[in-house]
Amino acid sequence: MHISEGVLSSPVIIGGYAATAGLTALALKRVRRHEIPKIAVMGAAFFVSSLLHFKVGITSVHLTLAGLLGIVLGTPAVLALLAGLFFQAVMFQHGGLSTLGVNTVIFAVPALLAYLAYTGLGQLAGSRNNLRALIAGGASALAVLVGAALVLLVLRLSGEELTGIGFLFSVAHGVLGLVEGAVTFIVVRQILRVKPEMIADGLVAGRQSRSQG
Amino acid sequence: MTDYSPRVSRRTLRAVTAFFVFVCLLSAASASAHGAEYELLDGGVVGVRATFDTGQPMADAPVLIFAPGESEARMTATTDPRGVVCFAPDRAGVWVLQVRAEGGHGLRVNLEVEESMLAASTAGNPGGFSTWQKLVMAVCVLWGFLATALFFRRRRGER
Repeated sequence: MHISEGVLSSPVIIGGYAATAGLTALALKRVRRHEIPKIAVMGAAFFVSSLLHFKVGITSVHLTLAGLLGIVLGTPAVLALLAGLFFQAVMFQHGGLSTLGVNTVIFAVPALLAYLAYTGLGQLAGSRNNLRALIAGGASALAVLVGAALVLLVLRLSGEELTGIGFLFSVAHGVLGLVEGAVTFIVVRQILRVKPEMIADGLVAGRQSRSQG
Repeated sequence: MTDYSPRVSRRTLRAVTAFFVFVCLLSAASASAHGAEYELLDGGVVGVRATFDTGQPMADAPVLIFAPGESEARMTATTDPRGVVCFAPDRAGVWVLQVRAEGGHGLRVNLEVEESMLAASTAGNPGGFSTWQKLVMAVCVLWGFLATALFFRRRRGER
């Protein structure tokens, strides 16, 4: 999912930075001081997960955790993603500094969509935690596909020819979506069980469990 | 107002750190390259300048390059405006270059490559980081993230 240096055209790179600046400003406005430790820990998880590759066919993919970050952190997920991507680019040439803006958008947009989907549909689930976790898993599986679609779109906008590679890329990320959905389901279910207030919409869930107790 | 801030216990943090280190080890072990790197070749490159008998260069002509004993071209290249084409052979022997100039003209060069002409090191990844270096880097960055978490948690408690 990380786009390397030298692949994108300059309008796309500038557009990516502009969009990232907007998203970061929004995230900074929303972030509260007590959320910073949570953002940092999730940023660490994101940084590590992208280093772990596994093969699907002839291409290799890695967990993105974008959906999980969005669901747990809400809008401030952008900050964790930006920091994680920055260090991946600087330390491991995974992605690149010129493409940092575009890459942040590629991860942040699915993260925020997963957050919206989870907060929207999560209310329907009420306090049924398994259902909530299932919604989270589904949202983050879809987030992977949205991210993959964004990658293809960005490459297309830069004038890349996408034929077989695009198809292979999509299939690989379909598989990754399933894995990531399962991971998110397990993690969210565990969080809801032991620390429901840790999830982005914890205010809602917290009140419900309080009124029940 | 009720405080919903996550309180991460020391034990949880220790578990999280252990998990990250484990994942780092795992990823280092399965390190399949994703990044892109380059190194400058120090020597080891052979070149040919192809000209017509008038002295005019065979500019922009396609070139087929055959490795010793191989009947299928190893690679194709194009001469530059001076008629020059270069490549870096990976083994000694007679390399064959077929230059195809316009109008059915062409040139066939048998290039004797000796062991001493090969690039000093084309194996391995001398410019990049070793698995252990990468591991240390990853752990350092992780510590940066976790220390940030600890720092802000500490300040909250002291207030």
